[in-house]
Amino acid sequence: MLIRFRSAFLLLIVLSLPFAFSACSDDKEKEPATATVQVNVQSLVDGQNLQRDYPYQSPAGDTYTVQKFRFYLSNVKLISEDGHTVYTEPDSYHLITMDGKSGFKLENVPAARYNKMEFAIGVDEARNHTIDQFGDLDPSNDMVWDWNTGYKFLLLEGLFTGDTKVGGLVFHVGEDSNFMLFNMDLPQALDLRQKPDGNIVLQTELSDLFRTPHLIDFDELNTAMGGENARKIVENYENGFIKVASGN
Amino acid sequence: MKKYGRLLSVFLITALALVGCDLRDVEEAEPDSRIPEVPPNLAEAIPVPNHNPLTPEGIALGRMLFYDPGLSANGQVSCASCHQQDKAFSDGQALSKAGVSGKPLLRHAPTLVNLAWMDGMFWDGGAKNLEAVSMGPLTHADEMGQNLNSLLLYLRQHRHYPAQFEKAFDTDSITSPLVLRALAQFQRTLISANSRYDRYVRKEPGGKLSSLELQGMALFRRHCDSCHATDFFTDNRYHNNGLDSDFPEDHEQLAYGRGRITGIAQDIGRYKTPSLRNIALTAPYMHDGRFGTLQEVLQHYSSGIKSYATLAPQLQQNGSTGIALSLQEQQQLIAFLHTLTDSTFISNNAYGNPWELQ
Repeated sequence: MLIRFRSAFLLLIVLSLPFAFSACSDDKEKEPATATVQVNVQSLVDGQNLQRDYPYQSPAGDTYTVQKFRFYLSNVKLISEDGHTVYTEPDSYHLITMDGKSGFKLENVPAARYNKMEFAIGVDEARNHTIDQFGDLDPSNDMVWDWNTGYKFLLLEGLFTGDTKVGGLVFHVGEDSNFMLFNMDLPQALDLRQKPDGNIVLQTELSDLFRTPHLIDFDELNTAMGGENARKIVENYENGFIKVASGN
Repeated sequence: MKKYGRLLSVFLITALALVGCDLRDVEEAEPDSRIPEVPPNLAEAIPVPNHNPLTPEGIALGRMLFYDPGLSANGQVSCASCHQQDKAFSDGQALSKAGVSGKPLLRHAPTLVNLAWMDGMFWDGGAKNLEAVSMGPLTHADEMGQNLNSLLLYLRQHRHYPAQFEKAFDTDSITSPLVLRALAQFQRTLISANSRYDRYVRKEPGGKLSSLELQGMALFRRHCDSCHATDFFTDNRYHNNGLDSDFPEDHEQLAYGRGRITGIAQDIGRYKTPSLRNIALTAPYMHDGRFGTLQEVLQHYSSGIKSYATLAPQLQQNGSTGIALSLQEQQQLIAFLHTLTDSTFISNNAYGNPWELQ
């Protein structure tokens, strides 16, 4: 009886040894594999890189130049093919500017095969009602409204020559109701199971801000500080203004 | 300088030893480093956002910034240019020309009082919190006219500020959000509730009101405190008090008041109810300073109300507009309003200019 008990005890120890070892090695191997994804944003006009002060033709036939173009790209997520893995970038607020930041890195992205990307243009309500924030939301970035607390989500400033008028273009789009989420398929799946790095390229096409469903004639509409004019620009977002050009 | 500093500190320590208190006590007694107490008829505690707790160092820094004309584009305009302590942090002007451009502003500089309890700043509530409000006057071309990046350069090169930011926020990096936070902290301490009226309601010594003032108080409670409510003397809401019947669109619909912020027609012509605390010190009155005296204000409410779709229902009762007040009643009300003057508020050293002491 005693012997049997002792051998059973020994057996237990012997049997549990491999588990002890595997537990150790598993800890190292099971550390979830992660990747880094570089997201770049290209600002285009009629398919060419946006250039400051270069004369462009608007969809309504006016000539215009751009001096400043910037917008907040926020709330970035990657969603795996099976829907089980969702990567949510922490503190995800990126001020994309034509002559400054045009990209950012997503860190610690779990290894999975992703085929969808979610993001927003603008600053969500939770962060849009205070301005004493740091980084890309710092008020020194010239994207804060001082008369009505909140951020300009998208800013375009330049000059236009219309059919009857010449003047400044000032489009400041903000306000909670104009925060817009996009959910897009990647052109090809981003498979991070085998490689530690990925790339995603987003493109904005400026002329599509002025095309559909609201054809913007600068003679009639050349200023927006929130309100209904800004709303027209926002409603035009969804027809080609921003897209995922590639992911690999 | 160092040598004298050491000599001075030896002298100070000796002096302190002699008077029998230690250096710690003296530091804590510095007037600019106190978190003020809240009078019980006002509230229990100062509401403070989690991300910007009140600290003695933050308040002291905010006070330095508030009084520093170096923050403006031309080095001559500080917050205190239009918010003067002896006038309960107003300026005595209808529309100030004290800004860097010298152009008159389009709205009257409001008194700064009990701001910690307000949920919207400016006459239209456009600034949603105290950490946002200073951005307006700092950057507006006709106020301090400053570019935030130039402001940061000034602060970073200053002989005092880097150390003060370090003390207040535990960082050697001076950034715009910290400037806004420090200014908010100081403004949150501007608490006034020690007038004769307050001592009367708290039943404290010196809290006596005359019969004229008591008659005025009764009238006030009958006719005025639906908007000038509670001991804050404001409901923190927006009303059209019948000043105008025409609201032009120019200056980006500035005349719309609250309607400019919300974009809805029902808010056109509505403005924030101002607190009446220290009202005898804060003339002229209304969002554009159009009335020079309290008499004019009461005449307006009595017989000057202009109709418009958004006119406050409180001002159109029993088929007529306005609040009918006899001249005698107006005098009683004015006597009561004078009891809201808080002389300790305008003489409190903790709110004064810290640069004059250096």
